[in-house]
Amino acid sequence: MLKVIGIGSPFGDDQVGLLLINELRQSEQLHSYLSGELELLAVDRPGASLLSLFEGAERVIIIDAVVSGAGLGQLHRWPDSTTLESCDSFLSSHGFGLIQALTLGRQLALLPEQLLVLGVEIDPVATGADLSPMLGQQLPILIDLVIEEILPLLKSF
Amino acid sequence: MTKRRDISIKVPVLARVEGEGALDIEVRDGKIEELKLRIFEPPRLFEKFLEGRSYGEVADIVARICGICPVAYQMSAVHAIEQVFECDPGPWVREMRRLLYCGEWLESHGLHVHLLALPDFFGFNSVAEMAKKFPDEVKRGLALQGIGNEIVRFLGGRSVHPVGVRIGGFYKAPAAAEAVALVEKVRQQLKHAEALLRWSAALDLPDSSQEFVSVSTRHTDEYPMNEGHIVSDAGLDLSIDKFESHFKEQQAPHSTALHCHLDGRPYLVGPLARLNLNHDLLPDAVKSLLRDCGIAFPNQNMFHSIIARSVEIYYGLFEAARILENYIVPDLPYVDVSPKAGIGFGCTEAPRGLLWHRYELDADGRIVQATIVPPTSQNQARIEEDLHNELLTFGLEHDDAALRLRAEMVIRNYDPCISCSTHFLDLRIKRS
Repeated sequence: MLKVIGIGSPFGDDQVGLLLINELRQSEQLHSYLSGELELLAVDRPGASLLSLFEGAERVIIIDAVVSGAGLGQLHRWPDSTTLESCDSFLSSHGFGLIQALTLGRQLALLPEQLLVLGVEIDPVATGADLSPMLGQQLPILIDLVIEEILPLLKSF
Repeated sequence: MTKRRDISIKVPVLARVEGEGALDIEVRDGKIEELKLRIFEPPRLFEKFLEGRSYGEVADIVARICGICPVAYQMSAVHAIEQVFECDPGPWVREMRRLLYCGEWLESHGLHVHLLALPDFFGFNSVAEMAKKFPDEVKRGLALQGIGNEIVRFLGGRSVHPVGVRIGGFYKAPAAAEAVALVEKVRQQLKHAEALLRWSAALDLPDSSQEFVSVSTRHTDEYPMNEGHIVSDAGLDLSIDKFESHFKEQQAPHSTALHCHLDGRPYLVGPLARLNLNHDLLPDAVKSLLRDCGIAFPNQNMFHSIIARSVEIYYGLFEAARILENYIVPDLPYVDVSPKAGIGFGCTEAPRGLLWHRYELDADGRIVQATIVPPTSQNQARIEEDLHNELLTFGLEHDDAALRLRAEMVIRNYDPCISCSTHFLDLRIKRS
């Protein structure tokens, strides 16, 4: 089983992880996998509860928002989550965020066999009901890039 | 003779907070001259946001006040508005609201005990560090938090900011099969909660009792969650509509959170206060386990708050199992309401303590005025008083790092809602 987990909150660019999951649910390329090998999850700031979502999945892709100073909409890629543990560019509104959850998961041996973290560079000042217009324009490209990450993992089962 | 040193501890930002706060301590000639828990989070203005909104929107708006205790805000609000509408949602809704509250206590206490408070008592900086030495205990904590999430999701549709609550009841009743599956999971966690309780009772916690007044709601025949009158161990006994006659919120210059006093004095709300005032209402099976663990209430040691939370975790599971075992699908999961003008009050027990709401509604059920008194503003003066007493008892001769850690531990005993935790980002020490 491959789980793709989009993380975010409901406002501004921080919702990009949630929106991408909604878009992936409509994807014709992924449609046939949704009844079996693929599960798509959109979760609002799960904190440590993220670890329970890994249950039953050998492979997991996480999509979250990042602020690192890179270009808006850039897709960052971390195939080794331990490299994230010294990184503070993920957004966390409650302190116990993605990095803390993954660090705890590693200590407790709760991480999946294969974990890929994808970070979408966002504008942290955008806090309205919608994505910032510039990031919104890049959403179709981001969807394609994420599907490119998903398909090889599904086909190698 | 040890020279008395002047100490100035300034913690400019409390990190890992669900609000923004800081701590300033000034010591001169062996005396604490100034101690301020500063909350500088900008006012969030929820009471003003509610004005003009229809009664049907209130439960979803107030759920957004807190990511950890949204159920508490929803429960105080719906009870207040139903009081105005003279609406009795009946026994099914009453039981389900209690179940929902069990879920929130389990989520919140499970998080606080394991991820935020316990690392202090073993000298770890974080739960990830603690997990190296105590992996089974941390996993147990995640499982207990997880069952709380499942209970909230059962009735609320999702575990964070649940959306299932409405005035008059719930939007949807879960299927009976879901209740059967959930009660089995709840029963499985009881052994973990018992192990947690025995473990927390055996912890080597600081021996530091203080004089303080405990305040909570009290119900005639059940441990308080959604209903009751307001009592204290100093003899106070009020109906919830009389709250403002004894409890006064006031501005403190160093804080954007209002300080609330009981007859001019600090007081405690939260799990330890609830147990101090309601331990006699726990079920016999819970009382028996407490006796077996050597746990007794009332208890004036704030460091035992971690034990109090463990007791409420065990009780929350016990109560959730009882409710789920009797679960039936009702014809309708709510009763219809008829808006009318008036003033209503709601007072329920958030994980961190008493949460009091007052709403004035017009004839169409729109909010004219709202007042919300959260537990953190009620505990804020008590935290400052506790810090003052505890640091003196601990000894100001300790070095700054030790004083800072002790102060952090004291603050975390209250699980303040301004903070998911209060690990301090930075510390500046000035010696003269």
